[in-house]
Amino acid sequence: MIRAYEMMNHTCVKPQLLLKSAPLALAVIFLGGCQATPRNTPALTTVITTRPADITPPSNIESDVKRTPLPEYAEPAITTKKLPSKIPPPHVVQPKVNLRDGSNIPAFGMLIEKAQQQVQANQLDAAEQTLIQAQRMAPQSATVYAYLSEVAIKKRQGSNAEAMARKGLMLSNSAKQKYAFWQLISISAELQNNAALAGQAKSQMQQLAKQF
Amino acid sequence: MKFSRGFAFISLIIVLLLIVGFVALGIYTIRLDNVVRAKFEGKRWEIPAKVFARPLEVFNGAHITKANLTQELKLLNYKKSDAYQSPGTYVEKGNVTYIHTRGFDFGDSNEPEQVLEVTMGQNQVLDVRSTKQTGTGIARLEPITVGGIYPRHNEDRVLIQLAKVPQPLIDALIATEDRQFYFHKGVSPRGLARAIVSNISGGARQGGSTLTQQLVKNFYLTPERTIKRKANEALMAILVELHYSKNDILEAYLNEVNLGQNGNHSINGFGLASQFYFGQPLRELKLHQMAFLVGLVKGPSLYNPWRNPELALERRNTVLHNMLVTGKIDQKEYDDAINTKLNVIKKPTAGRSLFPDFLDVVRRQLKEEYQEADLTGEGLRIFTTLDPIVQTSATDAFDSTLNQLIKQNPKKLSGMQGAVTIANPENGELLAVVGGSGLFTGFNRAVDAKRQVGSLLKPIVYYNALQSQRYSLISPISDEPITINGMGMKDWSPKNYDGRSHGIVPLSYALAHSYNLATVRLGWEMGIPSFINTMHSLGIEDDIKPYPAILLGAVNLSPMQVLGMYQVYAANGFRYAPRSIRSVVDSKGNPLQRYGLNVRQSLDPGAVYLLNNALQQVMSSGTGASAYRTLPASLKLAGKSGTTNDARDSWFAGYSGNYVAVVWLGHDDNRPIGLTGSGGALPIWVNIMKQLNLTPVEPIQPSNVQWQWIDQASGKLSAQGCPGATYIPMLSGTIPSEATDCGMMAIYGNQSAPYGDSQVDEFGEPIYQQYARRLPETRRLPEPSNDAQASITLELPPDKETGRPPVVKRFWSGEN
Repeated sequence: MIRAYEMMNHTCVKPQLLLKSAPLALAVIFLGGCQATPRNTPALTTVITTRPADITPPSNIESDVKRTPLPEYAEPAITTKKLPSKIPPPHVVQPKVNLRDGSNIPAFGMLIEKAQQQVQANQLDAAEQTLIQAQRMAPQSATVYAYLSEVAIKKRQGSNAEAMARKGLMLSNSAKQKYAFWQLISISAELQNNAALAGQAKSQMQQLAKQF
Repeated sequence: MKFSRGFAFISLIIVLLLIVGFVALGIYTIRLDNVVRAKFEGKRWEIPAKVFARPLEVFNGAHITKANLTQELKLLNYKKSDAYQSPGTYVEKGNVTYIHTRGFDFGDSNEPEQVLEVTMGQNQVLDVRSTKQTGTGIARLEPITVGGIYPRHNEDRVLIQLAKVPQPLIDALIATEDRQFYFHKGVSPRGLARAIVSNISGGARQGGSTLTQQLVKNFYLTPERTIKRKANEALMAILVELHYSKNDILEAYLNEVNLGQNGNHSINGFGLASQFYFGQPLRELKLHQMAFLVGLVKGPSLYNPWRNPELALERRNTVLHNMLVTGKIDQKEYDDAINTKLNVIKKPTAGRSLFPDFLDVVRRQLKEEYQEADLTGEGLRIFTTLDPIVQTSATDAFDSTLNQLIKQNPKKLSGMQGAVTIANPENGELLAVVGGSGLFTGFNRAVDAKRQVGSLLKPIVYYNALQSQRYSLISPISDEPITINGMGMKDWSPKNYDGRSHGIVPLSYALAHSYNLATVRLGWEMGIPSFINTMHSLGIEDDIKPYPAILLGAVNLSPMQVLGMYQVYAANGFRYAPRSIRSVVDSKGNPLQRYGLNVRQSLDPGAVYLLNNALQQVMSSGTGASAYRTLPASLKLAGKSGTTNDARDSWFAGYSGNYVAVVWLGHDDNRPIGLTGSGGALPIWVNIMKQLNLTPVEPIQPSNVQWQWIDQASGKLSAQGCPGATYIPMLSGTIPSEATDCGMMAIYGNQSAPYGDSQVDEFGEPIYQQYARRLPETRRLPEPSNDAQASITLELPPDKETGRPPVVKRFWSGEN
């Protein structure tokens, strides 16, 4: 597979490279052009060569006829794809943070289990106290905030539920977790009769749903 | 005849008088009986609310040092010993500490007496084992008593039950005060007669009352010594004995008797006296200590052990002798006991608050929510957020550093005051308050001293600039002179502290070095209203006048208010309502009020993340840099100094990962102290922080923030190793779209597909954002389960589209 857009990019940035791959680059310039792209930015058009569909011999071909096999690849189909109009930020290593999420504290897990049982038994005040105790141990645990939001929802404290979910959202580290927190925010929006927030939550959930 | 008539008449009169007298006595007795029963069966005492610190929680992985644990045990008056056979003792063997806890009734839960084996690591608990099983793996030591909220008559007591009173104490009391207690009916005729004769003859005042009479005297009557009172005392004692058992009477006596005075507070009952004189609960006292307490009954002032130690010792020995002669102890016990010193504590703690500044904050909050009578008489228990380790560290460091500073310039600094406030940034719990040096007078500077805060407000300007996305941390800004006029004011031309301007400087550099001109220019561009709005978002509810000078901190705030502001920075833009109380429990253990976690997102987490980075630069290379002469740079602390005009106030506010602390110094009369924030408040802040078990500042990176290598000169994308490249966090919307040549080569030179499908998601965003921060497999939270039981169905209106009630997938339910 040929990555023509790569060449094109280098063509725009480094003219000397253009000479080395002039024919293909000229084709790309023809298709996409360099003038439309800002300096140091990629072209907006890319050429992608695709493998043709498998060619199956017709079923009515006579079996005794000697045939010459078709070439493995046919002429490449040319498609275009829109790319960002600016340099996407490079893949820079991001600093890692050791979350104080209670994962190394056995007592934290036990408190969460206890809180879970209290929530199931509808002992919401007791569950809240247990979760606050757990939060002191592990202030950066998304799980604690998820439960706190759940408890607030069950107490029909919409704005409190939203605040807890927003804090949990910040601590969450996967699309599915974020999705769940937006669900909680969505419910808290219902409790608050906040249509704008509900819409925002729905939109976020739709975007996140595509990631899993 | 006349004689017999007269005799009959007189007899009749006498009989009538006797009848009237008996009736009157009967009525009087009935009235007394009502009084006796009403008080004895009703609420006997007004019990002041007791205020407790947080209990120290010990569990595997708890962030506690060995020094912390020992400090806590000492504050609780645990005795270091070779064995841990009795409650209130501990043994240290290498890195293992054995603690025999006392147990504590928290009202809603009970912490049993147990022996703990605590293995300590460098700065955390490695392992905890206990003689009692708990469901959560957490053992709590009993909380330290911070103080009480006293009624007007200033009586205080700790109620005790007779069943929990050590027998030697009862033996000592009966042997000394009333040997016939279990045999008489309330009155000892011989003793009563002796007292009457002594009173009439004007001789030496004598006692001789039974325990029941003493109880009646203290319980119902005035202290006057008259025949009428004595008669009432006898009559009421008989009534008490008629109605109640000896055990009831004895228990009431043990709780009622006055055993000392602590300032304005009288020490009543053996429960409180035990704490007052020995710092230990009654059941932990030894024989000689119990004898001492019993000796006080005769005259707590006369036998005051600090004022008259010899008399107190003599009286104690008399009590011990009484026990010996009545056969309650043997000769050996007697000999051992009389050869022991009094061993009272050096300074009484009960009654007087250990931490009056913190208690004052608690009292103010309680008075807004409770009736005075409930606080002073209902025996409420107030569980606060006070951390005695942090509080003690803060008080000690504040006092010692303040004195050092004053010694350097006594002429100018003599009488200088200050305040300290410390909180947990991740839940808003107030941990320590210092309201000034010296004795607490009621003026709590942590709350009451509203002073100009100077540069402490500068982060607001920089937050607004970063949040606007018009600026990044390295955006060049001007530090040239500026004059602001209009609004009916005369021209305002601020100056830098060094009197110079510094040309064009990077934004974070201007904050790190606290440049006034750059800040005013930036703040003016962002707008005064947005500055005020951000202040309100940070929890400042005061009315702020829109003068340009507020950009440089011309706003009066208290250390407590500043603490609230910096807590928001430390918690990534989330504001936790500051709280000093966790719960209030009534005398029967029923929870009256619990103070939950109250959090709100106040500022944009992305912009706060950047601001945190700038505040870390303040500490690494700016006005707070001297902190790292004492503290390790690996803590990545964040903070800001503040100095006001003519150096009248010296401030420092900053935080580690687990503590946010604010220090203020100044004269109460607002005279200049000549100290900058770095020169005055910062050394105190550092000396406090160095005593605490700190965690580094590691803010959570919001999804709209990326770290990038940026060329400092041009602001373009660069790469590690390129000249002038700096690694900084940026809001996604501010990442430059151009790169330096070096950066371009380094980033894309060896890649075949810089813009390939694998690098850009459907939204045009580079997909590494989603996986760069992933934790190792073992650290991850479980993914949502498809199990129906792992969902919660809420009683809410049905979804408009599906018609079904909302169901939330509970990703968190799988975690254990």
